[in-house]
Amino acid sequence: MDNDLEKLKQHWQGLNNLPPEGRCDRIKPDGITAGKVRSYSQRLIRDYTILIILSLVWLVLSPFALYHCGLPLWTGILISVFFGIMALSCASIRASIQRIDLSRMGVCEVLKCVKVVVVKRRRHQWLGIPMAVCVMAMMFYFFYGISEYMLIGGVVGAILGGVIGMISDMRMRGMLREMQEMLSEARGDDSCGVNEG
Amino acid sequence: MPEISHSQTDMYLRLIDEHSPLIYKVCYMYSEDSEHLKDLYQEVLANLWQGLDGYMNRAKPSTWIYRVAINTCITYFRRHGKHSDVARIDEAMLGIVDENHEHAEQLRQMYEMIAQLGKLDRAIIMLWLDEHSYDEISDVTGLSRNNVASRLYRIKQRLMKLNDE
Repeated sequence: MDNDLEKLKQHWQGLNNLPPEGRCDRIKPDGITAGKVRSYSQRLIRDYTILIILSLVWLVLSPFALYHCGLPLWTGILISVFFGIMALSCASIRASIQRIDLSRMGVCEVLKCVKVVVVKRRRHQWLGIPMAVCVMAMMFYFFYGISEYMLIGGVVGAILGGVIGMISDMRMRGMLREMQEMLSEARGDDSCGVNEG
Repeated sequence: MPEISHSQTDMYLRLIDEHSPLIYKVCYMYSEDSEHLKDLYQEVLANLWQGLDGYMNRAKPSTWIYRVAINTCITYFRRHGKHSDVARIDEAMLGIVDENHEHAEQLRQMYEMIAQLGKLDRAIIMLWLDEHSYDEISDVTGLSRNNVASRLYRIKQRLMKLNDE
């Protein structure tokens, strides 16, 4: 067995001598050093930053916009509260993603941090979707009473928002699904202590 | 990101230049096809750049690069599905070393063996194959030293069994 393992080591270390053609040396780091190519975590952080900004904008605008459209003020305040909760939730998820430092953490620590992101994201979904449905139902009820066109506009807006949300969700869910598979593998003998806390 | 000096850029480019075979090896062992390999490689380079401030000669370069590469490969999400016209990873490798059939065959066997291990076990065995100490493997993986030792024993047993088949 030792001889076989030694051969395996030699083969593995021999990979250092592969010719450059066909290796990824053709991928030059210029785009990275120039800031044009970002890592996946940086792109996720950017996505959540955009969501936070949009939520904060609607947190401020909602009472005025809806009051101006003829809805009672309390509906605008309720929607502001909804966007405020969503902004806080997105900020929490963003902070958790930022905490993941692939250059300093060990694999197990990275997995634990990813688990935190997964849990927060699920909480965001379970909280956000029912709240969004209730808010939309309330708005459609009032829109119907004010104008047909407002109702149509509201439905179109809801569909557009839903589509954008679904695309954003699919991008993030794919990544997190793979993380879950890794967590399951580590959880097998709990070597990483992923099940702690 | 804070403003990066020319010296940091030079250091980064030097690190990449010296250790690209190592990065390539790690990405290769986690890849499914040639496009996935390129994606992983680029992602590792991006994460090395992002984490450069944290490195700054504090660790052995190869250990640091292994840490980033393994963490990247394990956490990387593949955004695009496989395409039928993309070369499978073992075919892509054969295209590189086709002048030396024995070498190509050895690489193909290595990939077949190591790729059958779980992602965490792949990390452990790769570090061991590159003669990192148990303490270094423990530091990179976050497992205890004893855990590394027992896991490594099981991995070696499994590899020998696969080698015999």
